Amino acid sequence: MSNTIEERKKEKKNQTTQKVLELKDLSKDFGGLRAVDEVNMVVNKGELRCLIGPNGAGKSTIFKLIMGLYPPTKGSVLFKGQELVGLPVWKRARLGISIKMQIPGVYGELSLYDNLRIAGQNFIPPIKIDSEIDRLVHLVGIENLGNPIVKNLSHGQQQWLEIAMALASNPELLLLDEPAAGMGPEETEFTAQIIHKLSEKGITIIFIDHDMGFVRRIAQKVTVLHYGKLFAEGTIDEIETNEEVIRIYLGS
Amino acid sequence: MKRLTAENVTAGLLFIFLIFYPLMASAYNVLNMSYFLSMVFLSLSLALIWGLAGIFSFGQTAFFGIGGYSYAIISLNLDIPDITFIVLISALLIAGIAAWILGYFIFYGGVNDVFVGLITLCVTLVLATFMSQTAGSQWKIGSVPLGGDNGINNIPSISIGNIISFERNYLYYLILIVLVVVYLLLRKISHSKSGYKLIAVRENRERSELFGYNIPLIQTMVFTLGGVLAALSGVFYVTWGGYISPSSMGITAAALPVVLVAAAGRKNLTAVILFTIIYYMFSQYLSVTGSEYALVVLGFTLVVVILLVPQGVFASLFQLLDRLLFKKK
Repeated sequence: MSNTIEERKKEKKNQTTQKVLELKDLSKDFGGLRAVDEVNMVVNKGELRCLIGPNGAGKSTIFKLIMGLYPPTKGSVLFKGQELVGLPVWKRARLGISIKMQIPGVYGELSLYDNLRIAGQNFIPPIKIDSEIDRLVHLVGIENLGNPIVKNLSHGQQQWLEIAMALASNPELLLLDEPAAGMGPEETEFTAQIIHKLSEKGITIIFIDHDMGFVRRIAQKVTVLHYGKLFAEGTIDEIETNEEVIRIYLGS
Repeated sequence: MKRLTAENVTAGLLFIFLIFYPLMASAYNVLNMSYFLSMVFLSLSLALIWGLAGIFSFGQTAFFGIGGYSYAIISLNLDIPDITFIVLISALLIAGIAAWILGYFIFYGGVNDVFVGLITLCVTLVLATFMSQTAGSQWKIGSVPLGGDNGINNIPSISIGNIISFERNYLYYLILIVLVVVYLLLRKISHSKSGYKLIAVRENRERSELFGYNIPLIQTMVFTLGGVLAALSGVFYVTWGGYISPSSMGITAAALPVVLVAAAGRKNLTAVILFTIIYYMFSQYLSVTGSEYALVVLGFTLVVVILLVPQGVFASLFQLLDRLLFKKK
């Protein structure tokens, strides 16, 4: 009995907040080049979605359009039903969207805890900030690093710190641009574990990656982009056996 | 702030010394020290916006001038010595509004880094040039002629009613009290949430915006606060000497705070205060005892300091002492 009520509640919740992100006819031109071409895409709550595609397919550009780093040429970006186009970057961040960019954007001159404080203080009440930072450090699993000046950390460690920083805002939607780029096998495995852990916590995650092994390891659903267009969408198995996808990746 | 560090100990000793200074020194030296202390606010304004928030302004003297001239023009027009304390506040307000307007157009216009330095430098030079051509009798505001290069004279001192008029030792202690308050306030800000906002702006604007910081608003606000601090310097300066001229905004005057703050260590407020006072003492000593060489010696010293210790001489010294004495990492 209680089971059905819970299910009904869940269903109701799903109906109201199901779509976390919706892109409608989203396009972006750079000069004469169309980097993103009328992309329509829906990401539901709690999803762990991967964007793949050859270089220049427009993956990172879509992330930047979602965050507002570029204005779109056409189309709209809806976050939980709210139109984002026209809002400044910082307002989008405050709505609950967080991004880890391709190039590490940590504050190299500051200490690890100061990095997290800056990342989180707009979202966490001042009394809770110390405990919240501790929680993040443990959640991502970088508590053994201590509190060094961040430029002295390795590339992988900086990437993990940046994931922790992206989480400091307690986001509903997390965008990760190549979270495992430039990492060794062990570091990549650790990163995959972090992303799994976050997904289990109910955070909606979209990530970009090239490494199909890594994608297979974590993604539930994969979206393929090609020349700025949405090319295919499906489970990893569907995508990997899709002949068209194989053709664009391997060349005809 | 209660932690025992070289910086805190130095600040404590400095302020204790300054409190008892009038008991030890001659009236002439106290008068000079009032002047040195009034110039400290100008350095602090730059330490705030450049050291803490990473906004490089070459034009803090513009607000120094706006504060000084506003005080002079309003107080002479009103000609009621008893309420000059209110005039002081209005002068600060005017400078604050000017800084806010300039800051708004700079930061909401997306201007950053070295270009802020260029714009602010231009503003201060334009103001200085404009004021120096106001020699004719047609240039006056109310009954006060602006006086061109000669500037404005006989500016009254700060008074609260007829209870107290801030001259000599009174002025000295007024400036000192305001300095201590401003210093403690800035120290508190720099360790607070607002302080981290400024650091976020300084370290990486693009990244910080992605963490929800409204960058142009933060920049405009801190720039305004910096303008008010510079104006405070200007008001104290004109009430100290009873005089202001356009040269207080010219290129030499505009460059000096930048050099002082850089040489002291721009991220360290205590270093900036100490260095500014020592600089003015040294400069006074040289101009009294030396000759034309004084400025050359001074300039050479500053160049050497900046070349040898790019992080700032006192800021580096504090770090060294911390390592040696307080075993701080």
